[in-house]
This record gives sequence, structure tokens and C-alpha cells, in this order.
Amino acid sequence: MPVRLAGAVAALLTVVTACSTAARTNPPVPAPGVEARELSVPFDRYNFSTADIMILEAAEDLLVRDCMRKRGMVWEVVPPGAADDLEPPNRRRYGVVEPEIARLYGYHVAPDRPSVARRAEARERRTKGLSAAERQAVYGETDGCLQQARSHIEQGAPPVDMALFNKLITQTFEESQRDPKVLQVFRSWSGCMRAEELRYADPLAAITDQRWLSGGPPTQEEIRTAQADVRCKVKTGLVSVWSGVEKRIQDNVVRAYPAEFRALGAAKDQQLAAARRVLAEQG
Amino acid sequence: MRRQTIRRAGVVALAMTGLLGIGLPVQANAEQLASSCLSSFCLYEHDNYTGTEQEFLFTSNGCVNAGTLNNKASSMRNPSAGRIQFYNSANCAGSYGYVAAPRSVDSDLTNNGFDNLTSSVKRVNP
Repeated sequence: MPVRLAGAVAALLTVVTACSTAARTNPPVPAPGVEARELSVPFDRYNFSTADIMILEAAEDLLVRDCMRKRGMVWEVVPPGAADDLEPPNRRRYGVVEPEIARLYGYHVAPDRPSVARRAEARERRTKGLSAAERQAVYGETDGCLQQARSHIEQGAPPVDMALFNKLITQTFEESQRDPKVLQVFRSWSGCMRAEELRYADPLAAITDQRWLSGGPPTQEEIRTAQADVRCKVKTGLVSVWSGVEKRIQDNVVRAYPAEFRALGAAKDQQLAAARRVLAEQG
Repeated sequence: MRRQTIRRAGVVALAMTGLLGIGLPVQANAEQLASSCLSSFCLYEHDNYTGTEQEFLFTSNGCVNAGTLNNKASSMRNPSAGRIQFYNSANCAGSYGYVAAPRSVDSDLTNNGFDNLTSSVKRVNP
């Protein structure tokens, strides 16, 4: 069997099994905890959060609906997800920080909350239901309604150097992990973990342990480790130390590239303002 | 030589489900988006979409580990309408270091400081 087909079949079986098990046993997905929602870094000001992307996509949806209507076609607008259900942008930045998530999912990524899942399902249904002509009308490369919607939202926004921004995101995060204060708190956290007979140099080593990456639900051992991890973070103040160091490093970088960050901030603000105007006028 | 293609998955269904995003670093044209990478998202072992191709099908929570291309991906195609975040840690932990815009391609991830660094990817689900 070709590799691709074999993979697809295996995936399908995994999904079917997961779904039937899920219907029987899965508890409700908790809302993101305050520990994750409160996390922020200076670069957030220049990045689109999940909440920002929802605003942009909601506006684009309305513009596509109007564009399709002019072409004699129907475009179903999908309902937005609830704001409290959206993934906080830095939720897993320092590993798992929410006790409830550790208890339920260990180091696994938590499933989408219901309103987010419903929105994703509605989008998939809509896409699957498109005829060839409708698909072309929406996604056409030259005059597709989607392209027109994007152009409308982006109109007037200054050009930005996303490549530089992406590099700086990586570099600053790596730099933070070499900072003496962060190394010190890693050692404290590691000592705390060792007291529970768990041996990891830092939180990212714990969350990326090969034993947790094999698929399937989390084991009891994974959950126990994740819970100890969260407790040790609280005990050692790891998150506040690490995020404090990141803040200093990122603030310095913002000051070092004033024009580039000014453009990033302006582009974000202008696109969000354009999207909000669309929502106010047509929503 | 025929390219090896691996499909790495959590869930099946996906297609052009979202809308085009903003600040596209590289806006792909139809030819670039065609290829053997269908409608989801693909990583390639080497620059210019060569070497092993890995196609990703995202689960509802959107995180998939890079598997055989862990720390080996050098180019990507994102023909989907969703944004894809790249992490250089497994399990979508740490800070994402790169965001692939919807319907975009990158023939050399070095341009974004992410060559041979990807360990997991996540589809943003607003």
C-alpha cells in the first residue's frame, strides 16, 4: 500500500476509534484557565491573536457573502466562536500552566471548546457543499471574492517585514532560555521535579518527552508528570521569572527596530479597524 | 526518483475552510499551490519543495508533530485557507517561531529563520 494511502487509512481508523471513545467518556472541555489567559509578551502588540483573527475572518465572511450575492450565489456566514473559548496566544509558551488542563490532558493539547469546534465544523460543511462554480467564485486567484475581501481589509495598511519579525520571535525566545535568571529558575524547578522523582532540565524538556508524543490519550504517568510540572512552576515562580525576562528582551528589540515595529503595529491596527467597520456596517 | 510522501494526520476532513489572511510573506499562485500537496499543508525536506514531502491533516485542536521531518523541514506549502504556526518544540510548546499565511508558500524557510527547526505545527482555529 502506498505510504500516503496507508497513512490516511490509519488516520481514519484513529479518528473513528477516538470519536466513538469520545462520545462515551470525554468530559467537557474546560475554558482556558486564568493562568494561560493572563500570559502576555510585548510582541503580542504586533501579532494577531486568535481573537483578532476571528474579527478579521468574520468581516471577510460578510464581504464574501455580499460579493457572492452579486454573482447570484449564496454564501453562508458561519457563527463566531465565543470570546472566552478562544485559545490564549501564549497558552503553552512555558509548557502547561493550567492545573485543570494538566489533570485532564497531561501534556496533550486541549481539544477546541464547543463554540470553536462548532464554528470549524460549520466552515467545513460550507466548503464541502460548494459547487465547482461557487468554489471558483470564492477562491479564484484573480477575481475571487475572498481575494477581494482580503484586499478590502488590507487596503492602506503599511508593508511589514514579517520575515524579520518571525526571526526575532525565535531569537528572543531562545535568548530568554539562556538568561541567568531563567537558568536559575529552571534549576529550582528541576529540583522540585526531582523531589517527585521526575528528571527534566526544564519545562520544555518535560512537555516534549518522547513518551508523550506517540498519539492516543494521555497516560496516567503523563498526567502525573504534568500535574507535578504545574505545581513546581507555581512553587518556584518559574512563569513570572521567565516572562519577566522575555519582556525585557522583547522590549529591547522593539526599541532596536523602531520603524519595523511601528509598521507592524500600524498594519495590525488598520486591518482590525477596517474589519470592525465592516462588521459595524454589515453585521 | 519518485518523491516519498508521508501523510501525517489527526483528522481527515479539511479543505479551503477559512479566509485569506494578512501580511502574506509570499502570495502563492495557482501553479505553486498545485503540486502533490493537496489542500492541507505540506513540509519538505529540502528547499524548493524537494526531498521527502509530509502532508498534514489537522485535528480539531490543530497541533501535529513533525514526525520524520522533525528539525529537517526546509520549505513549505500552505494551500489551505488557514494560518499555520511553526514551533521548534514538539507538542506545540514554547513560542511559535513562524506563521505561514493562508495560501502561501516558502521555498526556503531560512528566509524566516526557521530552516531545519520545525518540530510541530498548529492550525489557528478562531
